[in-house]
Amino acid sequence: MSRNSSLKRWLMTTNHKDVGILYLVTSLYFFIVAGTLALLMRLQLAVPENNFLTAGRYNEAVTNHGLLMVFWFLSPLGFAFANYFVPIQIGAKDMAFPRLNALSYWLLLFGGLLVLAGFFMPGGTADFGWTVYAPLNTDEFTPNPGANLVAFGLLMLVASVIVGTVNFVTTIGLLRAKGYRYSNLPMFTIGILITVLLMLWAFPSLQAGLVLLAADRLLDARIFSAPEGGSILWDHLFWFFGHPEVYIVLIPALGAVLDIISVFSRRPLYAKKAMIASLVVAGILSYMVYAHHMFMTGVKTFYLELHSLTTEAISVPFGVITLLAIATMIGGLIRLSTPMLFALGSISVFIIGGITGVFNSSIVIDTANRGSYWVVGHFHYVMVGAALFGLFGAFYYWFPKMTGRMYNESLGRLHFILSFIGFNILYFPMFLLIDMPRRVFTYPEWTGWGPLNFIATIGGFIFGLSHLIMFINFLYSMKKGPLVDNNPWGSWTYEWLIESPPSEFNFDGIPIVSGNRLMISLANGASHNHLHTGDHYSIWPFAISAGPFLALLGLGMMVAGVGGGMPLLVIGLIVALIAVVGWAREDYREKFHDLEPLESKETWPFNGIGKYKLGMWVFLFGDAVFFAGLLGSNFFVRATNPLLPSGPEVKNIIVGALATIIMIASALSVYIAARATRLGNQRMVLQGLGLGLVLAISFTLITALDWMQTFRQGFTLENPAIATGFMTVFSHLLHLGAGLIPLLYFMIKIAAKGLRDGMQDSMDALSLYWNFLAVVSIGIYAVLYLF
Amino acid sequence: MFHYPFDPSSLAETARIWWNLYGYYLLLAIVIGGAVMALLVGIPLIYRQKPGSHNPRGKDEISPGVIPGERGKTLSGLLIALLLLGVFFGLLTESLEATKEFKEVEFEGTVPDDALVIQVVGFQWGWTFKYPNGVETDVLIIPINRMIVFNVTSEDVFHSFSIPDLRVKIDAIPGKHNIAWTKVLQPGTYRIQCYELCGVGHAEMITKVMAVTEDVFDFWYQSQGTTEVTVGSTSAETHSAHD
Repeated sequence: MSRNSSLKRWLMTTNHKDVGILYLVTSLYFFIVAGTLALLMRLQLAVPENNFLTAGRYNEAVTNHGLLMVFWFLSPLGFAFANYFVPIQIGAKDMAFPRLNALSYWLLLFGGLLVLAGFFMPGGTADFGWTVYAPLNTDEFTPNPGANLVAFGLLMLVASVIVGTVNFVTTIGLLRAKGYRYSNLPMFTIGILITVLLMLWAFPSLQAGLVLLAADRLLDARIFSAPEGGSILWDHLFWFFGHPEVYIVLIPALGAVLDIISVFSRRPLYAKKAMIASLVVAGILSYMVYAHHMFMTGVKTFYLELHSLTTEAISVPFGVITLLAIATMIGGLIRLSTPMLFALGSISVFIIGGITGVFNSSIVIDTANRGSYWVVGHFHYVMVGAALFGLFGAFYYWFPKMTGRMYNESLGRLHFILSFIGFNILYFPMFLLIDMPRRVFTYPEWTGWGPLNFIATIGGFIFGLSHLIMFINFLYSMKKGPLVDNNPWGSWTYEWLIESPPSEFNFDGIPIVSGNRLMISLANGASHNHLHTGDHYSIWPFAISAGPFLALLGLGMMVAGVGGGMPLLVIGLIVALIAVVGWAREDYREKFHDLEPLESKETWPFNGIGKYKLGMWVFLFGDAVFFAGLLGSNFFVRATNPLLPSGPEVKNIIVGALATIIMIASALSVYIAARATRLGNQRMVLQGLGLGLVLAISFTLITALDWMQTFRQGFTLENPAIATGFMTVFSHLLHLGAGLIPLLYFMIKIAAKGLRDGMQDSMDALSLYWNFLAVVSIGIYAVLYLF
Repeated sequence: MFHYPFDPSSLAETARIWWNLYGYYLLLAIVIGGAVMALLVGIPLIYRQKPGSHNPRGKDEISPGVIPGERGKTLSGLLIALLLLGVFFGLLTESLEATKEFKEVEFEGTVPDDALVIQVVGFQWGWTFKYPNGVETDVLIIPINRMIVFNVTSEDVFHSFSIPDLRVKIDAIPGKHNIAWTKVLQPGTYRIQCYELCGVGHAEMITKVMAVTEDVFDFWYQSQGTTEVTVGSTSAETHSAHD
């Protein structure tokens, strides 16, 4: 791939470093947008009874500030570095699925653009807070058409995250340099692995919530606006995602911070295995603490007390990591360069953010804290303080690697000092504003909140503007900064053994770890690289994201009553269709080769498992949570409201059983096709796939007719049991429809070209997917028909 | 400068329980946080490598391309964890104890016979208070030294009912009735406000509670809420909410 700055390169790249740079630039763009919203809010709050922003505008700012900062700035900034450096750190030439990597990025960007487009809709955009509480989030209470676009944008983001998760787990699982054990990997890569596993189980819960919300907003369903349990259902779905999300934002930064502390102290991490264990424990616990966001909702006491206990407990692993990080520095040769200053700054504010988090574990203390500025202070200390300082430290740390030039150290330190001081002036007063409610656009003078808010606003401007120093520093230094050698910090990891900036495929030879040495073996000569050069451009990741973007934008405009929506929707769908065909044609022509044979990599514990099969396993683990969320919602609404009809009252058990058996038969056929691939029996493969196709279509038709019958009986989506059930089945059929694309693709390709090497892996993945859909159909039958 | 009382324990029973627990957390937070912060700042200063001078205290154990050796006992992580668990166990015990005291009414539903049960309904954007005798008000009037139980719900979106000075807070959720309680210890006027974003009127969803002596309350209550009520000037904590 030519190393130039042409439009073609950036639109069509699939190289992990280019994608990393795209992530980086995009996340910084959204940082500026969301930061501007924050400063507008601070201006409004600077004095009591201010009229700078109206309540509506303020609520829009507060909502989009939160969404953009969390989903389009902090997380993507961490993943910018993950994209750029994780493959290098593990000794790989690229991600396991380079095109999917580009796809993750474009879905993220277009999702963010949908959110921004919401601002331009007549009638305003989302203004219900980033927690999107029900039933304020329904069109009954927030008819703002922009809110639909925000929900669509979030759905695209979830898609981006799921694709990225599959890619990172597969990459780290299969592409490590031979001999590279997990525990020897740098903390940043370990942190990313734990982060993506957290994403894998957290985001599908949000996805389920958004799918149900879409039904409420677009199909006149009444799930979240149902007086029985609608609000609490959203709380569960959102916070099951929302609390792990805090760690998803934090852990990439924490990993980078730990590596920086080690390098700048010249000392190995103290008890690194205990740190890793702590992260794992924290990750597991993170799913079991979320009800501390619901202490005042009046749900079951036992449930709350359990989460009170786990919330106390989750402070332990983070306390361990903090103390071990400090212990790491003992006996070192500490250099307080900019990355180290940011790393220490990150830990110091994390201590405050973490300790204030312990307060949140108490149900009684929550009677003061819940919904107050105290909480705002707490989570900004964690998410802005620990995460942003850590990631900016990582930015300074890796800047010379990414550009080959050194940034200006004095400006770097100035940036740290100003941002650190500004940060504390901004957020510390919020702990004192413990009685001021969050998300109020103004407050009366007699509350006495004026002076502290004024101080916070001053801090906000110091903090916000201090980042200009970083932008100026980096923009200047990437062109004019002094050239540096490959390893200015004397670090030990792989990225510092190769040139700055790295070449297209990172390594001239084969990375191998021997004992405790990271090596780049030139045994087969540097020519190894030439085997894999060739055209790695693809426009389809871009197009396959642009299509849904245009379609969803068009749909949002139609709902908003803005002209031009319909043509946009049609164009978007056509683009998406062309893109899917284009993507498949690239595979058909076998344009992309794997850069490295898996035999030369460390693949424990996935030895002998192909990348498609592993990727599919990972995807299905996440997807299982999605369907569990949907079916769980159905279960929840019916458990909350006994008046809702049970399965047998609505559905025909016999028809459901027939459909389920047909779906199982379809899965068995595809399974037989996958087995036949192994045996090399082309005829049987085609027959198996063909039968699977026919049975899947039969299943779809029977299910559709069954639901038409349900609606004919007079049930509507206003019934939450019907609506949640319908959205579950609808999602299942969408999965099935999406699965037909690879199924048809394999039939065409095998019929035309015969069975080929490497097809076994992808056929296994298809079979897994089909079997998963059969399992889901059994779950659907059990919950919707029998229960 | 602060209207908000740092130690509110003299205002209400709920505030007293809250303060006892909060003070305990705050003390430990300051001691532990301060100690860790001192280490975080102190150690880099002690082992700082001065430019140009060799520091004999430290050693360089990071080399390019070499996986750093294992350092420290993994067990030390477990020891720290146990230590922290001990601290948190103490906190948790206190917290659950306070919860029990606090939530006896709210969760067990053990409402004393002499308690005054008030229905609180949140709406976009305001509050309605319904008394047992049918009186409905938008300003809450309650007697001191008597158990007050709030039965809170919402008629539209998710609100959160709070009297922050008295440490009373419970979510007002449509279709759900949540219980909160308090026992005010001295007369005064306190702010009532919504603590969950509920639309454009969220910031102005403010009203007040007047805690008055039993005599004043009884007089007002007997009159079906038709008489004017003022809070006696005996309270040092009287706020001038809603002039």
